[in-house]
Amino acid sequence: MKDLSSEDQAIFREIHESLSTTLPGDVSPEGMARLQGLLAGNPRAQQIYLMYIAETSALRNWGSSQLHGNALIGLEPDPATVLELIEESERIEQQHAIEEARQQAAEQAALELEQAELRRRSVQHIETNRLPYTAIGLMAAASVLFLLMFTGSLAPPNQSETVSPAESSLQPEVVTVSDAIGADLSVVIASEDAPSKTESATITTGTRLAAGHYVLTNGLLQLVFDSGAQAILAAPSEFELLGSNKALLINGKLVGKVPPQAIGFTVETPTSTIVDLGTEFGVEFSPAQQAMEVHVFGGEVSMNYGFKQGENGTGKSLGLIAGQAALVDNQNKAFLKETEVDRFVRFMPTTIDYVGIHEGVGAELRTAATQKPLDADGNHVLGSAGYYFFNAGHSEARPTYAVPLQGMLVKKPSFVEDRPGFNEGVAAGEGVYSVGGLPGYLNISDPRLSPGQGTSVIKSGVLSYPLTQLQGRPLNPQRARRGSEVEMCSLALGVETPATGFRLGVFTDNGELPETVPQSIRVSINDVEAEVKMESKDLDGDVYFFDINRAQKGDVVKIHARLADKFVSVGGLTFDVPNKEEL
Amino acid sequence: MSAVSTYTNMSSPSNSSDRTAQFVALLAASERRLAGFVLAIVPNFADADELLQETKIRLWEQFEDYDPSKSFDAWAKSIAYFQVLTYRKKKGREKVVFSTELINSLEASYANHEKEMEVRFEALQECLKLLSEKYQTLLGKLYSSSMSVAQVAKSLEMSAEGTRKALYRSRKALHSCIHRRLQSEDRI
Repeated sequence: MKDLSSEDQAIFREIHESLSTTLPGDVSPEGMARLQGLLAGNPRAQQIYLMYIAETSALRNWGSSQLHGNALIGLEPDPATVLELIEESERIEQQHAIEEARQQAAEQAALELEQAELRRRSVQHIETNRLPYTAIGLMAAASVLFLLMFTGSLAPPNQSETVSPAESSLQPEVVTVSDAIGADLSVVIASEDAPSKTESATITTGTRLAAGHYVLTNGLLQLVFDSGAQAILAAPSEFELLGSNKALLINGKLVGKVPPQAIGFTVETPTSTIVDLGTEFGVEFSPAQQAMEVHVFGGEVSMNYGFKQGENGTGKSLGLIAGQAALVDNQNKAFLKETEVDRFVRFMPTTIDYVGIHEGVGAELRTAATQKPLDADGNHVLGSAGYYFFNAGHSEARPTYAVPLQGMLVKKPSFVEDRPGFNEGVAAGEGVYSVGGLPGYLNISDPRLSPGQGTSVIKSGVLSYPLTQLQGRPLNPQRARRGSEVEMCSLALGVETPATGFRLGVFTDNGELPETVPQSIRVSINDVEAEVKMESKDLDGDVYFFDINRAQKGDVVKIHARLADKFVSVGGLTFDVPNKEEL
Repeated sequence: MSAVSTYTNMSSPSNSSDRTAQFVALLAASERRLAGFVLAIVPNFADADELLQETKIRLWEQFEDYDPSKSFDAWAKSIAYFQVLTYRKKKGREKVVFSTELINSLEASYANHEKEMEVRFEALQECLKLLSEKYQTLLGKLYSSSMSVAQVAKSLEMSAEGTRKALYRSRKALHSCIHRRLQSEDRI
């Protein structure tokens, strides 16, 4: 069925506005002049005007019967059969918007191909071998043409033109990789006289991707389209980048996040088209079942489905809002359902990785002159973004255990909220000087002095478990069991948590008893963790580094230590933020 | 004021009660279409109502000239058309009427689309049923001319701007509904 064209709708609106400036039928001289201009010599506008008037006349008739006490019609209709007419009308308009978006995308794609061809010719003309190949994005233009035909948005290409795979590198770059976790991405290279093959692509944050056909075999990939729309793809998936605000999902799952400037972000699947009207949604397509699901997490999307391959805009349309989902089966039937939030990867998950150890950095951990290859910001001072040194700087032994915050030297990282949290039974270590002829706690360069202020050493200290005395009275230390694990402290992250992640250093092996060095340290955040065994117990001060990425406000980092003997201790924590550019 | 109450109280030139009954019946059957025709040429409700009233008086006055073998509708419209032209001369200075050229063009256009306009009347009744109660109430109040936009807005607890938007949305929805309905019936 053919609906009103957008041109007819515009005429209808103009007529309505001319006639109903203030009150229906209270036509101003300006309104009449506007209408006169619209209708004179325009038979189509006159026809629409006459229909508008016929409807107005009928409404007046009906309104007058209302006035005389007749009941409203259809006030108790069968809810199953009644549509909210206005919503339906708006859905139809959205369908027009989709068709127009498809049309524009097809025109854009044709233009891009034409430009690529022009560039190809000019490159050939100057006979240079230094073609501006992108590392990835190799794809035959013939393949683009095929897929565009497949989605029904481009006329058949001129058969006499063939394009070799190498030339396809001239496809425009449309997307930037903004994040990747264990992602194995391949480019599908199609050619006319050989089967398609895939070529592994090397990607890092900031890699530009050209329009083309890709397969993600492992991991997670986060892309930012040039429009500003963001997409998260989870392996296994296969997709095509069709333009700066458009993709085709051939297999797998995609979550789109659409800021206002990218409204209209379009995800096609072989059987449907989804246009995002703002915020967040997930799309899944299964080629085996020829089934598509779309789940709206925020805002709204407009979906066009049920069109046959190669045909344009003959499908049905459906509008979905936050909390709604739809399944389109292999018979092109749509079923509404509730959104399943866990079905999709909506955020790049927080990760934590053990990076390595700087063994024996000891007294020099704050001294820039000592090279520190694992210092994330490269200034060779550990803890540039912040530090906690437990029970440090005392000049004499204290007779008892203290609360953990006692004697803590702090430079609070801007992204950590408040003070660390401490588990019950964790205490500031007992004293800092050697007892019984032991070498004593390690000296460290005073962290409070900035590099230009010379060097001064202080005694380091420890956060220790278990607490053996409380208010002078001895506690039973035997409740600490060898091999058991205790949470030493926890850190709540705040709003300034860097998007580029941070590197946490755990300082240990600085006390006077090697058996208090943990058997292992485990750092956890959200539901991920990393653990490392302590190999070095020679009391020369070691720092174990963990990289924490994609953490955000509200996340809590917990540092756990496993007891090698009946006590365990940790000397401090350092924080460094890598000098990566934020995307 | 209904046609019946108006014309049964008038004195007919023929003074025949049969003639009066015939006129009333013919006018009742035709009045809705006549009103639509007048409104097309004079879209301002108050002016159209005034013109329709004058036309009806003129029809009654000239009813003796009506040839019962011909369409009353066509005859009534021709009278209305001349009334409109007279009215145009009278109102021309106020610039709230179409040009004579456009009036002529609309009259011709009207003849071409008359059937299409007629079926819209029935389709509208059906499409109105699909509107929510709130929108039905809004349209009822606005088109019965019983209330201003501000009054309607207040009664529906909406802003005046919201009411205007709702008016446009519902008109557009009705128009689309009627269009689809008629198209599915192959009537346009």
